[in-house]
Amino acid sequence: MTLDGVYRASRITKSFAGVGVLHGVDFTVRPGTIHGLFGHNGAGKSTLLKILAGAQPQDDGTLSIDGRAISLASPRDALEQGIACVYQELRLISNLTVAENLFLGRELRKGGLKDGNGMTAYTQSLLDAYGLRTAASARVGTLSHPEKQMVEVIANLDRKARFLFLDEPTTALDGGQAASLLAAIRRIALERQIGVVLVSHKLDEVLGVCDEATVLSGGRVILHVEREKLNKEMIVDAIVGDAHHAGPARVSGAAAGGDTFLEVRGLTGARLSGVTLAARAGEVLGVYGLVGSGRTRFLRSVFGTEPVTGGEILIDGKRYEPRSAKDALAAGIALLTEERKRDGFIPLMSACENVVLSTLRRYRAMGLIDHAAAGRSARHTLARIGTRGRLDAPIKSLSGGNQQKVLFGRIIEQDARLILLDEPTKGVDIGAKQDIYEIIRLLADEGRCVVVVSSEEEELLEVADRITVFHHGRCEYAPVPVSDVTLAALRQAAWATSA
Amino acid sequence: MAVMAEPTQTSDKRIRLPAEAGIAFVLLVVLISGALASPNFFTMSNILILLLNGAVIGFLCLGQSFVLFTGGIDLSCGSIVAMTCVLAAVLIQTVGLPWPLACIIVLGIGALAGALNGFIIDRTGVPPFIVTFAMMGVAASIPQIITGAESIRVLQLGYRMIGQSRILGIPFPVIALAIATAVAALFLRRTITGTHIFAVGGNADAARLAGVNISRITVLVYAISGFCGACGGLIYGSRLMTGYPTAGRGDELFFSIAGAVVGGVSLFGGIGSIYGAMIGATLIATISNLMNVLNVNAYWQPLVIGVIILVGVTFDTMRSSRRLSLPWKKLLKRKVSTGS
Repeated sequence: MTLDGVYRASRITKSFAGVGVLHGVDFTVRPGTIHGLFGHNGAGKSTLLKILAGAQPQDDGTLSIDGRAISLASPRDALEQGIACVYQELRLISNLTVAENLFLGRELRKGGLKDGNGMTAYTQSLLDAYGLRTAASARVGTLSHPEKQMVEVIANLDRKARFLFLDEPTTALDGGQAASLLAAIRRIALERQIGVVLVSHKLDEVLGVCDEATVLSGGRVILHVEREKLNKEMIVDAIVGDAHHAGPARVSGAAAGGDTFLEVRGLTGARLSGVTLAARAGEVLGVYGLVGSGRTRFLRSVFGTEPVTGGEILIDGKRYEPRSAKDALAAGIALLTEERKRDGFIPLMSACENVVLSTLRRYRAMGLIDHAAAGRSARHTLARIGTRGRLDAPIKSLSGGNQQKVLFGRIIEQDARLILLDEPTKGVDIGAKQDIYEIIRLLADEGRCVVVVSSEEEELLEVADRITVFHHGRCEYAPVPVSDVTLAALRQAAWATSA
Repeated sequence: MAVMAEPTQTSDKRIRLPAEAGIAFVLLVVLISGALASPNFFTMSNILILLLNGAVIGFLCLGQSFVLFTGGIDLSCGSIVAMTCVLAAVLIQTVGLPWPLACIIVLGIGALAGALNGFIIDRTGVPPFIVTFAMMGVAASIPQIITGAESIRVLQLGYRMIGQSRILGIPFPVIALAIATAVAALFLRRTITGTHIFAVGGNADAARLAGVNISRITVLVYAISGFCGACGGLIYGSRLMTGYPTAGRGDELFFSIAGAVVGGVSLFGGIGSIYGAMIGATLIATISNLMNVLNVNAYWQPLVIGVIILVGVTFDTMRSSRRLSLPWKKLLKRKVSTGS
């Protein structure tokens, strides 16, 4: 080992519940350089980042700085070693000023009182030194997103960070803002000899400032390149590359040439800049794309809970203008949301009550609900899709897979003609996953139109009849029958289309 | 399809105590100890007085429960008692309307004031605490302005019917409250709107996406609370035959929340039952009556009730954060596990 001030991770392994996520990863961060960390959804980037920043312990492998082994029990530990991480969700408190945020928990005192002027003056000198035009006395809530990110970066550096990890720093920014943020980070890295790691999906923006790049795939480093050898094609190839040996493509079971049921033309809205696609009755249309590519917003726009600014939606040939969830349900559209705990079920109601929540009026006689009939129907539906556990206990006591089946039960109860599914197997164990794929196929076989959004390529190849891809809020990739799609083609489309 | 359909487990014959059992037991203990402490307590006439005095709190507690089920709170219900109590007297005495018509109008005004709460909360997103806090001030000052803080005597003797008549010896307000409780319980249990009220309190986002009209529910529950406040105002006014500008502005609001909370209605929404709330209100009325019978200084009452609220809310918080499981549940579980 040499005394070069390098933060080195070697042979890092990590697994969750017996599933290996990282298999012996080596990674180095050199002072004064920027290291890009790339890889696909689930490649292990986030896990590696968390281990490097002390947010999670590794199972095996060592971390060292300057040749000296370190162990990190918490992010606080890491910060004491000079390692800081800026996550996508910033940790600034928006009703406090920049100076107050910077000094939070270590405020300056003067004669027993808070030394507000001292803190503001110091912060202002710091902001000026970094070339920011932000006032130290401004409330953080009034700053723009890139300004906030810079404040958080500076706050970390001021706490003597020597290694800085940035997780998707440009996600919420437009092109110009991203470029100036990255330029500022580049300058700071050079001037202060800070080692920076950028984790990003946006190769086009980030690659220009990187000195070296590492690509993870399946928990292993499959590419590591430096300086002049860096180029985008090579990295995209590496990200896509391992997918070539995927199993044979499935042949779609849906009858070709069904009638188009959902047609969307040039749909625009917040972070949607032109979505055009069509889905047929009796088929499962898979929607693929990276996190943040607008897939969820698209589903919510069709469902009517996200405002639409342009374009049109046709359902069964008729123009449809969604306004609220209630309208959508009345029009025969059902939505399964990504975060079932947040906006999927009512935690203290039973599985059965959750199933019939949207269809109660069916069990009403003379204004009163016939709970026995509703319960029977819910039980019948849940039994049909193999839901296990106590159905009359609060739904929060069921496992993730069974909770998800209950929500599918609600969709089946609704008898919707258009079914929108957002990450339908998120947080579901493998056995229940297969059950859910069967339920999705069953819904399509009954002649319904199903749109499935997923980050897992294998999932879409397993369940979809045709697949389309979202990229930066656009959908221009004409749906391709699943038999003609490979993992590699999907990733290529998600990462590389347009610049 | 190949997904296996498992027979649902109906063999699960665990004895399940209703959630209200705990508070009912506490009420029983208080009643028994009251009977032991004073021979004047457990007499038919005292029990009827107890219930009659508790009727106003009971109505407020009923309305408050609807609001609490959605995760809101109504601080204005006591002031609505004052406002409606005086307005009824004004309509009867000053305007000269026949008393039944005046009562119907006053009930409408109560519901409208509540609906206004709900409307503002729904449209502006201002927290219920603030909106109803403001309404508390507004509704309290209206009767003072109208009467110049004087009380108004009501001379139409028919008005007496509401608060002072008895059917089969039972005071009418008690009967009215019993009927209202039964209707409310049926409404919550057996109508779609009733289910939706609990859904909004359980998870408003999920409820909206499931097609629940949240605005309608919000306006409705506050309107019900306002209506119940007006019922309280009429009972109050009719018992005294007076429009009394500070009626209901003592401990009534405090007691209405206390009754619901000790009866198992969660301040966080989505949990509880009307029966539980009514048992809770009865408990509060009983304690208050018992202290009168035992000649305890009236100033002590809010202190005792305050301690009861604190214990009730602490219990509720710990239950929902799962730091504490109810002792009898643990016992039951042990029995089941050793039995099987």
